[in-house]
Amino acid sequence: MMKTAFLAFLETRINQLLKLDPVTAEALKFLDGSVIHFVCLQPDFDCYVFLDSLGVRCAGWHEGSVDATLQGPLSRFIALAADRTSSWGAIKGLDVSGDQAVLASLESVHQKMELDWEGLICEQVGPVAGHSLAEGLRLIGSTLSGSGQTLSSHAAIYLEDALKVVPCEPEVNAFNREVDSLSKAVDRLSQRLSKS
Amino acid sequence: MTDKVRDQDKTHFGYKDVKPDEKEKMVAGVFHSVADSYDVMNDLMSMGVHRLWKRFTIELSAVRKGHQVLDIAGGTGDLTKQFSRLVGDTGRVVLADINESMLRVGRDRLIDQGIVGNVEYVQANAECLPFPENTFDCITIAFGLRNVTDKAEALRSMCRVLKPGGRLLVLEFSKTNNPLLTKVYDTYSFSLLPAMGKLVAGDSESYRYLAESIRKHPDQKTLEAMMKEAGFVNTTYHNMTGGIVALHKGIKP
Repeated sequence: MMKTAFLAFLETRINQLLKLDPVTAEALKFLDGSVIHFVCLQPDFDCYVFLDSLGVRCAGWHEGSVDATLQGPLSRFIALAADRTSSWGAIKGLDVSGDQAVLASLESVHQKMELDWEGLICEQVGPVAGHSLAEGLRLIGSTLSGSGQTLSSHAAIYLEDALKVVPCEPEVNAFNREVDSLSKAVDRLSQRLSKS
Repeated sequence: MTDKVRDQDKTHFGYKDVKPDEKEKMVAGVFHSVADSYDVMNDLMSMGVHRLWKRFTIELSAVRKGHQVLDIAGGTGDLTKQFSRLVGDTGRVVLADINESMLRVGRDRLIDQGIVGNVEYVQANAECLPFPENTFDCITIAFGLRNVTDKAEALRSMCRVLKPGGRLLVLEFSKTNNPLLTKVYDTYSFSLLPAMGKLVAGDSESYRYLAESIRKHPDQKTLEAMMKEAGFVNTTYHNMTGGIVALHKGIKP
């Protein structure tokens, strides 16, 4: 029952997200009737995702064939969700098998997915306030991004300058040798003075 | 008339012994009374868990595009709605209920949600289903079998209209296997349930009948044996929520 409840929750959330991206929803229509089997090895959990024109349906039980299977530990699925540029086959530890056409379509959908998060905010607080809030968030985002870039470039200049004044190894060795010889000369002079 | 014959002429309506034709009328009365508040009460009584029980039933149905599905005692159409999506334009779902009020509420609700085209509505008695032999790929009866007067006859009728290889799914209240849970469940059923019925639906008697009819319903093993007796093979059952509800599955050979 817990699994059924979790899958019901998951299905609702995925379909809500798909509503924010009509392009992805439209692309998934071409995969109508496909069944994807997700097998998580650590922790042990599996589920079937059915794609149809109305969105996705998640189930813990399926008796028919599947079109594609994705298998790996949870960390690999998180890596897959976060990495939208690499091909699925390049994600180490994730075993991808099944109908190559279905997999290629899914990979393309995953890479091109763009969620209309502004629409979600507008739904909650209204169009005017939502748009203003989204603008504010964009501004904060671009400021943080700009600050990050500035910080990164300043750090590079600082390191470059710092590296210029740091002596290289031969210079340090030569300096050490000079200090040693000076120290010996001072010792010798000190011995002479004490004898005279 | 001997005692044995008299016993055969009687059935039960909750804890009362009644004549078979009286039971039909009394059950009809219960559902005429609760039809309008059926969904709200289901959510309240089960705290929404009935949606998970039905979801699991859908998963086990293995229904796919083009299938013919019969949802007996379909009531307000929870399962029919999901099946309609699964069978697609090329399939068909028949929502059948013996009770006119429940059927009307279910039909109106589904039409309001835009679920049309592949759904048909039939007022039918599960004991004598008005369909040709070998018609359906899947038959479900959710929380309906315990209200049927002659359960064995109903199971035989379902087996008749199923296609060979087709499956029957019976979702029904059953027997808990944990004494503590049974005690809590009994208290809930006989004290809280009628009170909730009175408060929300203005009818405590119907909900007292619900609790009593659950106790009179065959347990998991007995129902499985009845399914085998009716002609089903590969019968299994899944207990849910500690056995409060069980989902029985059988295949027509």
